[in-house]
Amino acid sequence: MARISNTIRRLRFDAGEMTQKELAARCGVTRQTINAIEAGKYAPTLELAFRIAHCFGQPLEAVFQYDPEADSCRKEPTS
Amino acid sequence: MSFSERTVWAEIMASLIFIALVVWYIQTSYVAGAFDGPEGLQRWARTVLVLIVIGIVVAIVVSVIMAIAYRMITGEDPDDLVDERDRQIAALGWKVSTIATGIGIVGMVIGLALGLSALAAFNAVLAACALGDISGNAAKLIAYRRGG
Repeated sequence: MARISNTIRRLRFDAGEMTQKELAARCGVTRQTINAIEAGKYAPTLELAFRIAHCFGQPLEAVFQYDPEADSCRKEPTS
Repeated sequence: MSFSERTVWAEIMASLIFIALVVWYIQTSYVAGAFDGPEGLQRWARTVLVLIVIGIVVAIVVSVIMAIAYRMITGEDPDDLVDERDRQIAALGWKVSTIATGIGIVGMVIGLALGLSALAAFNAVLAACALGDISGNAAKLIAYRRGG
């Protein structure tokens, strides 16, 4: 399964110590969903991921990172 | 705990109350001979319809009590927002519930083939629906606890 990490916790802190509840309200989801995303227990939809990035004024890659080493389904490209 | 997770707990509580009521009432009626004779199945069907209405009322009452208790304990208004994670978990619950109910119904058919009475078969359908309901809600609770 693909491994997607995020920097939401740090971004919240940098954004004036925004709480999970505040971020959730801005993104239209519950606080529990934001908590699950931060903990890496839930992978958001593309739309929600973009909304979270937009809340911080950051590009998507600055908020979510993909770890190819953790992807067991990854196949080596054939030349 | 989100509103949706709290609703799942309420549904489980309501289901357990309803199942206990149904088992007790049908067993008592069966022992009293209420379902004997050529019209026994019709009486059974009418009994089940009444119990279904009672079950819906129980579910509503339990849900209201949960909302009041939530407000009293946390001091907050219940947040009734249902987001994508809630919908994903609800879909998982439906899938598990359908599979469990299907397994129960297949079991009932096998029982019929082996000589189960019609009344017992219909009761087995009720049991299959109860199994599906509880299985689906249990799957949702596990998903919520794991983070979805």
